[in-house]
Amino acid sequence: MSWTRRDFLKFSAALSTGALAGPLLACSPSTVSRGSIPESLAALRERRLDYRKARAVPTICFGCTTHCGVIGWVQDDRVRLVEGNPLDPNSQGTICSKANGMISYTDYPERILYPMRRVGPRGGGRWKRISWDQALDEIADRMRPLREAGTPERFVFHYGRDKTKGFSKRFTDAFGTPNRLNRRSICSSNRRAPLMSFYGREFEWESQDLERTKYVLNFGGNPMEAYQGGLFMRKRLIDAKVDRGARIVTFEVRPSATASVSTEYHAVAPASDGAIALAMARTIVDEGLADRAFWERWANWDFDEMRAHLEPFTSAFAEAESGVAATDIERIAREFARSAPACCTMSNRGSAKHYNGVQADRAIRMLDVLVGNVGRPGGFCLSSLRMWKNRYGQEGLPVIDQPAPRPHAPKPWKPGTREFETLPRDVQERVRAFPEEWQERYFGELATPSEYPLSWHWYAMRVGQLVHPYIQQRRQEVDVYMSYTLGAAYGFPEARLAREVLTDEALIPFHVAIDVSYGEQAALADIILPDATSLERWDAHSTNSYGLRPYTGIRQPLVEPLGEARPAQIIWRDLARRIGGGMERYFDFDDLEDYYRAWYAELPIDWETFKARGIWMDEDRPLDYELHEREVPAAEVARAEIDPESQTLFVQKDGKRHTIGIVRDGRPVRGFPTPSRKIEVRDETFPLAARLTGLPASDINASAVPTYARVPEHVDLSDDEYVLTTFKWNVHTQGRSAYWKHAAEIVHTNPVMMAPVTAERLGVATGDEVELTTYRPKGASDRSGERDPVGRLRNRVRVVPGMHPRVVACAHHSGHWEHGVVARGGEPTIASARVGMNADTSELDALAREIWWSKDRGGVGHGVAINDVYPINPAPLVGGQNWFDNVCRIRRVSGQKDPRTRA
Amino acid sequence: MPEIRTILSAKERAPIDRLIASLLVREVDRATWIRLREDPIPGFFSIEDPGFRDWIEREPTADRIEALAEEFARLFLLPDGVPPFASAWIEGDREPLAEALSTFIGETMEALGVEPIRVEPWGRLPLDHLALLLELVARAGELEGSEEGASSIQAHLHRELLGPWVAAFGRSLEARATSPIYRGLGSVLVALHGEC
Ligand code: SF4
Repeated sequence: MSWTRRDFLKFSAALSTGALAGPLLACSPSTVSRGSIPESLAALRERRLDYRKARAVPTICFGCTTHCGVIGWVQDDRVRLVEGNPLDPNSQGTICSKANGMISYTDYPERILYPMRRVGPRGGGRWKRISWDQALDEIADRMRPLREAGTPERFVFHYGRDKTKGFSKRFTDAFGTPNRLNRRSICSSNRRAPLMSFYGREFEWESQDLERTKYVLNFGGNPMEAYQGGLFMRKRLIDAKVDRGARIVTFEVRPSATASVSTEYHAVAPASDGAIALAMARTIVDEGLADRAFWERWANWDFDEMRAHLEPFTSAFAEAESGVAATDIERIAREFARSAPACCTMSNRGSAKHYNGVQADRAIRMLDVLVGNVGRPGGFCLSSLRMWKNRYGQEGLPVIDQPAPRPHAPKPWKPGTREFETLPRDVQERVRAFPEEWQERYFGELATPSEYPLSWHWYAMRVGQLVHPYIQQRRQEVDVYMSYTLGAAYGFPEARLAREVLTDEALIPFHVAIDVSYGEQAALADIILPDATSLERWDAHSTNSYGLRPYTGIRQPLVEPLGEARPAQIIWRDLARRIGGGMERYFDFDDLEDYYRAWYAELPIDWETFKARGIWMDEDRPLDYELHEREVPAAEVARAEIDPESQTLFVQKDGKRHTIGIVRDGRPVRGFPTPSRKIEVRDETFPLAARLTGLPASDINASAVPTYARVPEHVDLSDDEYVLTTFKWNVHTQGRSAYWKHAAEIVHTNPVMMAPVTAERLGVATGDEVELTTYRPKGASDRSGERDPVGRLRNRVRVVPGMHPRVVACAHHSGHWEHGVVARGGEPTIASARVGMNADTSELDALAREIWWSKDRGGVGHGVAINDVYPINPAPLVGGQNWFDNVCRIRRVSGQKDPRTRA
Repeated sequence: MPEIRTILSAKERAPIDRLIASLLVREVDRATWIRLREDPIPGFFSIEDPGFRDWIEREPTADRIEALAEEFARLFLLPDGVPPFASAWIEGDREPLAEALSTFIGETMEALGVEPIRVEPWGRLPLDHLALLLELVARAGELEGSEEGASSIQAHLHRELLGPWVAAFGRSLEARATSPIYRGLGSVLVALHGEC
């Protein structure tokens, strides 16, 4: 059929009278001045940022969890550039390459902009848009009956990156569920637990005084790549080394970016950090380099007992364990101690994410106490951490807290409660044996797994990697599961198990995912709710300060959310209002800005000034040195009693003793916020937890004092076994940034790195393909001892000099199969085939054409997803995932070279 | 489909641009389905696909409406679809390009005295969303004859904002859509705004 001009004219005329097409544009009050229509796109590409037109808005970066103060330049409703905020005392105006990734993820063509509901089976990849009303009504209708029936715990909230500083807790508390789960065990719990055990709950992170230090002893900490607060340390570390000649000594299994800027790098056997630290402690004690006065004043462990305990940990022993020469261990110990107090230790996942990692970190922490650098200039300092509520170290600061009214937290599941009766018998028995203080914190097996009591003893760290297996084992019945910025389906160890559970509607009848992008987790939801990005929302911010002066900042929207995306706080508010039943009274605000203004009501500067600066700090406040030596105010002393034996000052509250200080040399001082007000180098919590959970007293994790034993599966490594370790690329923020083109262009793959000698032994070279087979751990770990392999993966080799020969390393956040074309390196999705979609648009779609690293274009591709082959391996008691222990066997598959290495 | 661009003036094309814009931002609901049956719309989509008329004459059952909604989401709202954004298609480094597009479109809207309407279901559309661009071009087209130089503005907008990519977008839509309405949208876009 052919149409004439006349037909088209008739068609056009008919349309203009119809109402099919509603307007998308409204007349604006601005005057028509057509002369100002730009000449060409090409010319505009050259003038990216017009400072006469752009607005500068300070906010807090959320490219990663470091949370630097930044300034976004906004022009034409777009954030054009992100720069550092010089007022931020932590970042000191610096940023990293990821900061501008926020622009990538705010304005990218594959972002989820609307609430979506699945069509067809879960995980089938078929969706339709629904309105917010439909979405929220459906979710509220699922949730309300749980609350009305008195079973709110059947609503499970599982978050990955929640930086709403307690706003989500407001929602879960108001609903009444204790099942507010996280992913801390995946990340940092093995290193937080030792610190909190030593220094108290207030200090899950330390703040080394790197601006004045002369010596940094780094056990697997990696601020140059990935470390909460890493950027705050980077400039300080480099300045310390370059300007002041400070020595940085790094023990690592691979030449990380931090190792590469260190003065000394020692490639150590995996999980041998504890042996080195204890041998150093022994050297320091033996050679009279310890600050005995400090130890005796502040450590809770007798010096001579400690000396006796160190006896077996000789430098020769440490050499045998780690491969580091005994003479080096002794020399470094001496150098460290002689630099005191301007010296500090540093550690993170490298030392801690092992079966023996909690004890390794305790041994490392002990070094600081031994040389008396704690809280001293250049030393291992502690600075106020969380929102200010007049806690330890926050005296004199304005209170910064969520506006009232606040819901009560759920009640613990103590024996006799309804919830307790729902627990399996063996769990009931275990919990019954817990001290009352622990029972007060017990909320069922998802939130507070009874086999891992130290995952919630100090702080709600949880054991995230066990959530899905526990749901599968029906340790908790679930009706509604809400994941928020969580990537369990991709990034958790044995992620395929999480996917199995998330796909099974009998186990999880209803899954709501709140996120910015369509990742592997959202793909397994029933409803997806589009979250506003960090450039589009409000959040309160506070963290520990490496400048040693507490400060606070505000994240504020630079642009309005795109599409129909909404800030999570608004989502929860609107859900609470729909669920009703009294829940809504905690969400009685219309405008989020009003809510945050009330949050910061006590700041001594007005709200507009705060927004304009983005940061507030009391410049006159003394630095956070020696908080433990600060005197307890007379008024508090007057209300307190003194325990004659421990000399602690305490007050009675709710029938319990709360220590507020300690008397030292007749002076009432604060001490540390631990039960003894001392540094608890010896902590009986560990053997107690072991006894109550059936962990043998001989297990390293049961020790009250820092100790060392080899990781069980490393004890008898055969010649063909290697330790598969993993790491985070410094331009990425785990699996969350693969779709940020800005980051993906820099790093998009994850070869298996190995030392030249390892490659030679395996008969492989860079570019060859190998197959790795992984096994379950030994020792007292989940499913330990099962013989079947956990999984296999194939990947290309990259030979890297400087690696430990027993270690192969592979970054764990490549190889996505969702998250859009950038993350997938142009590969089709699994679901695209399922929905009959022709995924090949490479010739048409510029977005796909830009993926120059795709295999189609002769590139290296987007890497290999490796998390499925990592066994779930929680450390005993604390539950942190032992990411770096995995034993694997390696087989050469092919000698075909990596395309980039072809001649 | 003949090249409508050469057959109709910008002003005459404006209602067609609007029709397409509306189909790009909103799913076909029952009411729209019924409107799409009204002559001469079926004839128009049948130029390329003679089966269109039979297809649209079917009963708009809930299942069929849902299937269309699902296809809409797959094509225009989710990753791996046919993103209706200029910045996803125009050749060049994405970020400077997307920024340049925002400036271009922002300044053009200001000059034409218009601003985007934000309502459900589309909310705050990215400025380079094809629907907005079509609406902008339609606006400029409507000024034709009433205001001197409007036609050159329309041509300028077409050359800068649509010409470089809409044909590729349309062809991709033709290739990847399964229903006659979205395949038809692809063909119409090629005919309306193919390469200059
Ligand atoms: S380290 Fe980089 S990504 Fe992380 S908050 Fe700071 S600037 Fe942003």
